[in-house]
Amino acid sequence: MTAPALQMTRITRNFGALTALDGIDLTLEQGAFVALLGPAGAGKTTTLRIAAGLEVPDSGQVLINGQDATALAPKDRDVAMIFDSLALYPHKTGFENIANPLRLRGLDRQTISAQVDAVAQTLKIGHILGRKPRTMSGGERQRIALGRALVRDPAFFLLDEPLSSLDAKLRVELRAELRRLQRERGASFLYATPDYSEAMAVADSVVLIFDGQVRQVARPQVLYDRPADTRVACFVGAPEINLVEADYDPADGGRLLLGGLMTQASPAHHHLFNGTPHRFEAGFRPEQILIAPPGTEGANGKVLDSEPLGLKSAITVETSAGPLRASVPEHIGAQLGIGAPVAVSFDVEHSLCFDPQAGTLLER
Amino acid sequence: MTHTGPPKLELVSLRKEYDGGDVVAVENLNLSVQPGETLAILGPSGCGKSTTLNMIVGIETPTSGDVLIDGVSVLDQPAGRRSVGLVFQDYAVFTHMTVAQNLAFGLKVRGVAKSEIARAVGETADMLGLTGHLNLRADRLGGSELQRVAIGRTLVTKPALLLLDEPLSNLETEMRAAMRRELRRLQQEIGLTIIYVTHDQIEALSLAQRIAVMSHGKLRQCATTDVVYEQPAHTFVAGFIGAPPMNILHGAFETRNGESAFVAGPVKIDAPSGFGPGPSHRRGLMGVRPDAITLAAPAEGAATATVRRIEPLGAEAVLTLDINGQHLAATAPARNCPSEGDHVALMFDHDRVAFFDADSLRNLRDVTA
Repeated sequence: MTAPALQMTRITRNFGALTALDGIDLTLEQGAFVALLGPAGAGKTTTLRIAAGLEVPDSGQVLINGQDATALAPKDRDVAMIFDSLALYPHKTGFENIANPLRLRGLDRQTISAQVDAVAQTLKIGHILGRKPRTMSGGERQRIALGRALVRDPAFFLLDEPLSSLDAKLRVELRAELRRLQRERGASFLYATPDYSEAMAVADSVVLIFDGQVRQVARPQVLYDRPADTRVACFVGAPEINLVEADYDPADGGRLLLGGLMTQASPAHHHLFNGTPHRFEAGFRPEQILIAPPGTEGANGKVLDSEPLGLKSAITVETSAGPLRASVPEHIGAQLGIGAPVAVSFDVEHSLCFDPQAGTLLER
Repeated sequence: MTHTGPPKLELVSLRKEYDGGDVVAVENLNLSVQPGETLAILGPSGCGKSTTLNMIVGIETPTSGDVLIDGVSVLDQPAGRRSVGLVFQDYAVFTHMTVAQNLAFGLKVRGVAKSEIARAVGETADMLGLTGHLNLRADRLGGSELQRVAIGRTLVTKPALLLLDEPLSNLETEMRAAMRRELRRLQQEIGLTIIYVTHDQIEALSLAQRIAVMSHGKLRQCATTDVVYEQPAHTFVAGFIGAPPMNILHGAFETRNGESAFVAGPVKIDAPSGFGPGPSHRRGLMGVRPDAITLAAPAEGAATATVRRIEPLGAEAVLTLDINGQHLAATAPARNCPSEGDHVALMFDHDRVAFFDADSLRNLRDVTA
C-alpha cells in the first residue's frame, strides 16, 4: 500500500492567546481530491500553510509520502501552493512565468521548453504563452498560475480559495480542469474553500472544520444528508436547513408536534425513540418543506418572502412552528406573492433528528 | 405596462469612447426604464456597465447619444443636479458621524430647513429600521446596517432614480440575502425606480423585473427575467446566466417532407416551423437548460449519453453527460441519481429549448429568415 500524499496528525497551532488549530487530523490519499471546508477564521489557511511548511505547528506531525516533513523547509517539501491572489511576475510572459521553477532547478532550455509546452497543452493556454499577465483575463492568469504549479510535478497541490475571484462560468470550467488533472495525471489536491457548494462540487471527500477542529469528514452527499450536528447542517446547504423544536408522541400510530403544527411521524421516529414520547430538534431541508399549489384549502401559513433564484424560488413562510424556508420551482414561486396564504406540510420521511441539547445527529 | 407618461429614464444611442476612440466602452446603447421598475444591468467586469451608470449619474460625459430623465435631457446638468441617487459598493458613510447626521447630510448641504430635515430623517430611519440606531456613531455599525445607512442617505433626498452599483458585494452571504429581502420590501412599499448594476446573476434574478445583459460595451439583451433565462438573445447571455449555464449543442437544421428538425449526433428535436424554410443542413446551435433535460433508462430511439461526472449540490446533483463527444450538464434529484459511467437516455423539454444562428450566435427567434 502506498503512503498517503499528506498525512497531518494532531496538529495544533496557537497565535498568542488564540488557538488557530486544535488537534487537526487530515489525510490526503494519493490521487485524491479533498476539500477543506469551513467559515472564515476556522483555520483553513493555517492548515494549508503548515502543510506547505510556511508555518510550523506547535505540536503534531506532518508526513509527506510517508516521510516526516514536520520540520522541513518549504523548498524541500515538493508541494505546490496556489492562492486566490496569484502572484505572477508582471514583467514576464506566460511562458517565462511557467518556466521559472524549472529554470531554478537548472534544467536545460530544450527540456524546459518541452515541459512548458506539455503543460500549456493540458491547460489550453498555448495561445497566451507569449503575453504578459496584464493583457490576460482573470481566468487566463489563473491558468498560468496553475501551469506554473503543475510543471513542477509536486507531491500534491494546496489550493487556497483559488477560484473565489472568478466569475461563475470560469469557476465551473476551472473546476472541471482540476478534476481532469486529478484523473489524467493522478494529481492529489487539498482545496480550501468557505463555500460548501464549491466543496461538494469539486471534491471526493470533504473535511469540515470549525474553530480549528475537524467536525466531520464525509463524502459530499453524506455531508448534506447526514450532517454530524446542527452546526454542520446549517453551514451546508442553501437556503439554510429549518430547525424546529419537535415532540414525538407515539399515540395514534405516532405523530410529531412541530410548534403548533401536527404531522404524522415516520416509522423511523418510532424506532429511534423506542415508542416513548420524546422531545428533539427536527431538521427539515428547504425541499422537505412542501408547499401546496396556490389556492389549496387548509392554509396554515403566510408567505413572508419569495425570492426568485433562477430554477428555484426560496420561499419563507410564517407558521405557528416559526418561519420556515422552502424551496419551490420558480413557476410556483412566481405565483406566491408576499402575504399569500399557503398550506405547508412536511417530508417527515427524509427529515433529520438532532439531540435537543448537544445538537448531534441522532442516528436512525 | 399601463403607464402612459415618459419613461423615468431613457438612454438614446449612448456611446462612450476613451483614448480618442481606441477604446469603445459603451456602444449604441438604447434602453428605457419605466417608473416603479427595477432594472438590473448585468455583465462581467469590463462590459461597460459601470461606465453606463456613471453617464446616468453625470460623472462621465457620453461621446454621443442622450440621457433623458422624465423625458428631459439631463446632459447639461452637473452630477449633483440630476435627481439621481447613487449607492455604491464602498458605501461612503461618514464613520465619525452618527446615523442621524449621516442621514441628514444630503439635506443639510442643500440648505433644507431644520424641521424638514428632522421629519425626513425620522421617516427614512423608520422605513429602514434604523430608528433605534439614530444616535449611534456609524463606526459602531455592522456591514448590513452601514449599507442601510448608505441607502438611507440617498433615499432621504427623494431621488427620481435610485442607482445601486454592486451594493451588496462587500457583505457576507447571509447579510446579502437579508439585504436583498430589504430591497424587495422597499421596492414594494415605495415604488422606487431602481437601476441595479451587478455581476451577480442571483442578485439580478432576485431583484429585477427586467435584466439588461451587457458584454464588450454592447447590450446583448434587455428583457424580463424569465425571457432572459429561457430564450437568451445571444449565446453570450445563455452562457452567462444560470449555474451551471445553458448547454449549447452544435448541430444542423434538416428539413425532410416539409418537417424541420435540429440534429446533433443522436439528438433530434423538432424545430419550430416559424424559422422559415431556410437551407437544408444549415448549421445551428441548440440551447437547453440543465433542468430541461430528463434522464431515463436507455431505450430504443432515444438519444443515449454516458454519465461522466456527478457533482452533488445537496437536494440535487449536476451530471456531466457525454453525448458523442459533446458535454451537457443536467440536474437530477440526489436520491435515485445514476452513477458515473452509467448510460442514460435523454429527454428534452421541447418547450424549453432555444436555437441560435451558428454565425451571428443570435437567437433564431430574433433573426428574420
